[in-house]
Parts: sequence; structure tokens; C-alpha cells
Amino acid sequence: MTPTGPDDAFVADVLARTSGPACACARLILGGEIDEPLGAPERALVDGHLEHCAECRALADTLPSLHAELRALAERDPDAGFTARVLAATSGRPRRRAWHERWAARWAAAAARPRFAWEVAYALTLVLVLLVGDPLRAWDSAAARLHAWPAPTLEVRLPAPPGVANAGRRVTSRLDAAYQWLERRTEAVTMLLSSLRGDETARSSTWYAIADVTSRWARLALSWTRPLVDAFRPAPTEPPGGPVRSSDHTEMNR
Amino acid sequence: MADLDLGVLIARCQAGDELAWEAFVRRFQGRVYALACSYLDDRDEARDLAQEVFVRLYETRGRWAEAEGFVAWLCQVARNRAIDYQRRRRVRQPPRVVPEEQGVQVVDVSPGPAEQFEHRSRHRLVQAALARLSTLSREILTLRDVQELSVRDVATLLGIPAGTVKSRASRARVELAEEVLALGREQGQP
Repeated sequence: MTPTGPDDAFVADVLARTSGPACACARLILGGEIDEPLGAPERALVDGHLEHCAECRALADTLPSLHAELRALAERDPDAGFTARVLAATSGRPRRRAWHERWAARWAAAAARPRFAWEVAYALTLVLVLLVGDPLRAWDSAAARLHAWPAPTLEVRLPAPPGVANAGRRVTSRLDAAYQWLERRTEAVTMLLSSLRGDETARSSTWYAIADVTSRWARLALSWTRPLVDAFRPAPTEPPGGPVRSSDHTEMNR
Repeated sequence: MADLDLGVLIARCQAGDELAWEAFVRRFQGRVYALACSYLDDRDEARDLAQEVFVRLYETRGRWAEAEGFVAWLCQVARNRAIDYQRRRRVRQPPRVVPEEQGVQVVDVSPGPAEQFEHRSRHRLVQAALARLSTLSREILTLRDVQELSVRDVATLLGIPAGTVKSRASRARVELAEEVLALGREQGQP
């Protein structure tokens, strides 16, 4: 604050020894006057300060004109050819689509390519291998697990109503024939596998593992179906003199 | 040429009307260029940036703001592009220092050559004073006083509270006035 009279010098001295000059406060209020008009008390106080402070008065005179000058800076002339250049740069330019539209279009274009199915298959196989591990190795452990699976015991007691017995026998005989065929094939495969068991190369091959699992499955199926087939098999004719008892066997063995 | 209603102009641009787009560019080129100049010192770079802003606007014309808050939104787009531009430039090459005489040309509507000269020198003085302010003060003044955005819009744009915008704007105006007075004294202007 620059003193302009004898009273001002006294006020300046007092302010210097107390709160300091009030110029900063007055200027801040003046700067904010553009956003919000001052209330009556602030107006009176600021006017009182301006009356005695030449620097703040000069600033207060500058602020409104400066504000008008700033508004004049809102637009600047780029040059004469600017519009033409913008129009040339945007002419025929397609509208930029939203991200989800671009994403959908990209996927549609990718899916339309002939090798997309192969790529998806590769990707899914890769995911499968990463998640599960080598899928072919599962055959080895499957065979071991299958071997440890015990065959259930099945007891069937079927009534033999008249008329159904003949049909049942026919079905049973065919089932029995199929069963025996399957048993022979399984036996052959098992024998083949047994002969290959010493061959490390053959044992480590996938085909060996598949054949092993297949034969084990077949044997498991046979052990499950055997009691069923036996249940339908006609009962053997009893020898004359009644059925053989266990005590008779004992006697015969003696 | 009478100014078309902004809402109609926006709708026509979005519908792909090339004439409306041309009118749009003519209407906002000064404002976008002025904004670009407030962020970049180099006149050519500011022009490139302004052009880039318009190309971007054209590409995204389906997603423009409503007419009511369009100017604030446009300022935000220009500001974002300017910040991107500055970032790219910082990576690419150091900024060029351009003499003040090559600075921007304000749209001048004063009639006589003497008045034009006076206006130009005064504008140059204000620009020089603006250049001396801190980045935040300059940006707040550019958005609030030059582009005349509302306090709320400036607060949203800069991501600061409205109260901070008001207090920073008050302080920035005082700083600018002090700089103008100081520069005027240095150059012997009133």
C-alpha cells in the first residue's frame, strides 16, 4: 500500500505493526468479482481500501478491461486455407464406430475367414492341454484305475412264467454266443498285449494304451454281464437220484 | 451468414450433411485454434493440432455432446488432444521456441490501421503476460475467462472442486493484471 496522505502514513504504520497491508485481501476480492458480484459490506470495504491505495486502484481499473480483452482471445484466425484443409482431411472419411461396434466387426471378420475353425480348434486344444495336461497320458492311468475296479456280484432270481421261458432261452443262447465271442476276442487281445509287455517301445505307444484299456473294459463288461447271462441260462438237468449234495462230493473225493 | 442453431447444426453434421460440417468447421475453427494456441507455443503445431481435433470430431460425430454443453465438451476434446499432442511431441523432439512476433493472429475487427496496431500490441502484451503465469493459472483463465465456460464446467474439465476454480481464477486474474501493468510499465504503455 502506497500512502497518499498523512492519515495513510499512520494507517500504513499501524498495519505494518499489526496485520500487514490489506492489499492481497482486496485484490483477491477484486479478482473474484467477475465470478460473483460483491455484497454491500465487501464493496464498501474494498472501495475504502481503493480510495487510499493507488496500486490496488490501478489494478482495479485494469481488471475489467483485461477481462474484456481476454474474451477477445476466444477465437483466433488460423489462416485462409484451414477450413479447406480440414474438409479435405475429413472428406469421405468413415465415421469412427464405438468400441463395441469395432470389436463385434473385428470378430465377425475373423469368423468369416476359412481357417477360423482351425484356429479355434488350436486355441481350444492349447487351453485343454494347459488346463488338463497331456490328454493321451490319461489312457495310462485309466487302465490302472480300471484294473483296480472290482467286479460286482450279481444274484438274479427270475421267475419262469410259462410261455416266456422259451423266448428267454432263445435270447439267452444268443447272448451267450455273443458273450463267448467277446470273451475270445478279449482273450486274444490280452494275449497279444502280454506278448508285447516286454517290449518297452510297444508299451509306451498310445495304441498299446488304448488296446489295454479296451481289453480291460471288455473284461469288466464280461464280469458284470456274466451273472446276468447265467441267470437266464436254463438250469442243468438233475442226474437221476436227485441233486448231488456236498457230502456226496466229499465221499467221492475220498 | 446467419448462424444456424447449434442443435440443428450438430444434428445435421451427425446425419452426414457435408455442408453442415463445413459450417461447423467455420464456426468453431477460431475457438479450437485459440485453444490449441493456449497449449502449444508453435503456430504450425497449433494449426496441426486444431486440424487433428476436427478430424477426430468428424470421425466420432455419432457421439457428440448435446448442444447445451457442447462448447464445454469441445474444449475438453481439444484439451485432451493437446495433452496427447504434447506428450507425443515430448517423446519425438524438444519443443521449438518461436519468437513472439510469429505468435497467433487474433481475429481483429477494429476499423483503422492505427487502432489495429494498438489492438495488436495490446493483445501481444496480454499474451506475454499470460505466458508468464503458471500452467494451472493460465489454463483456468483460458477456460473461464477466455472461453467463458461456467465454473462447474471448468471444475469438471480440470477435475478440481468448484471452490478451487473460483479462488484460483481470482488469484490468476490478479496475477495477470499485475503482469500486464508490469509489462506495460516496461514497454512504456499505459
